Amino acid sequence: MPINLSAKNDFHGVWPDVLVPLHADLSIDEARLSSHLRNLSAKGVEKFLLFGHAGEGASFSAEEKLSALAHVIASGIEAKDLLLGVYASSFSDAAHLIRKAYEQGVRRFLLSAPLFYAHTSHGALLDFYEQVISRVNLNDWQLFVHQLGSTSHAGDLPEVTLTELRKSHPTIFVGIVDQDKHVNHTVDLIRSFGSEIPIASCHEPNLSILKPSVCISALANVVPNILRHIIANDLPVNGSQMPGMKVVKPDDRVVELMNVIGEYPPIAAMKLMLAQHHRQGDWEHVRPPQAKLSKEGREALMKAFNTFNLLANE
Amino acid sequence: MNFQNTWYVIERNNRFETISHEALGLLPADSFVMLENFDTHREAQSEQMRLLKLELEDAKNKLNGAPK
Repeated sequence: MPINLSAKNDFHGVWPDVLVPLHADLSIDEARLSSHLRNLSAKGVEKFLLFGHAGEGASFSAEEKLSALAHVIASGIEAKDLLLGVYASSFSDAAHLIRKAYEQGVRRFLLSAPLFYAHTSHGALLDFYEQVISRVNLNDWQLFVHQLGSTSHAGDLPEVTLTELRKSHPTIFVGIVDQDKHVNHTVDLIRSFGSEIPIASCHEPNLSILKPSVCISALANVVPNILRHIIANDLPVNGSQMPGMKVVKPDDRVVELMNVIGEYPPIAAMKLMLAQHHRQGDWEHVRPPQAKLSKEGREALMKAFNTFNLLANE
Repeated sequence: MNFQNTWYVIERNNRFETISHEALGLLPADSFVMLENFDTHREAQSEQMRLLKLELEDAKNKLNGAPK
């Protein structure tokens, strides 16, 4: 069945950068992953980035991703509501994963610059994407470019490459996801491309400044409703409003939560929060090369998370 | 997803409860923490039991002075 794709209209709201639960042997716990998406859906979030930055996307093989994808879709999550993280240094691997996931109904794919070689030229980067697009050889799919900025040595596609790609493939390259935490980095992308395509920021504290219509959020795994309120720019979610007392706004809670995570490895920290929330210890597993929490760090973080006091409607 | 006939495990007033989608809709939004959603009442109850057992163990450990 053809799927109507309109990125400008459809790529909005909060897209959690879904944390991926693992078994003790570090294979994907597909049942728990489906259950996590279901819980987020029940809290009102309906679109998901699977195997993104927080979803340890560069650490799983295409086969692992496809198997998890099949489980998630069979559990009732609609393929059209998924954005799939594709990270590969080989264009043929990237194209293979995209085609296979397309067969399962997925139409949106997130692809960063190739991860292995640094200092690649504009022309070479453009060739990489051209190769992916020609080998996928399909019309009705969407490519979102993942600008990793300072979070990865893979870095960014230069503006000139993005412009060329947009010119050659206006119906395929339809959005940018900015992983960089510096707000000016996102502002530059919005200035250059924001009038044509959606730019999604991943750094939650910047959202209240940028006021975007879409965000990709790792924190939304833990506090989806806070992110929903920030994106909708509506009322505080904290119920404890009292006359004369400061009203805690959603973005204040984001800052509090970022302070809780502090300098700890963020993916391990957020997984610990889910482990504590669901009382499911297996949530704590991360896949190398993600750093684990030290014993002391884990204890301190658990105390800090208790102090953060996750509220009912967050 | 359609949650019409599904079941939830929630925490309300420091207690775990299994509650239907319909009943959940009648609760004030800030009166509970939604922990997990399930297709069947049985699955939800089994999760509630697991959580209760963990709480009991924690309470026993606290009484015995053992670390959590």
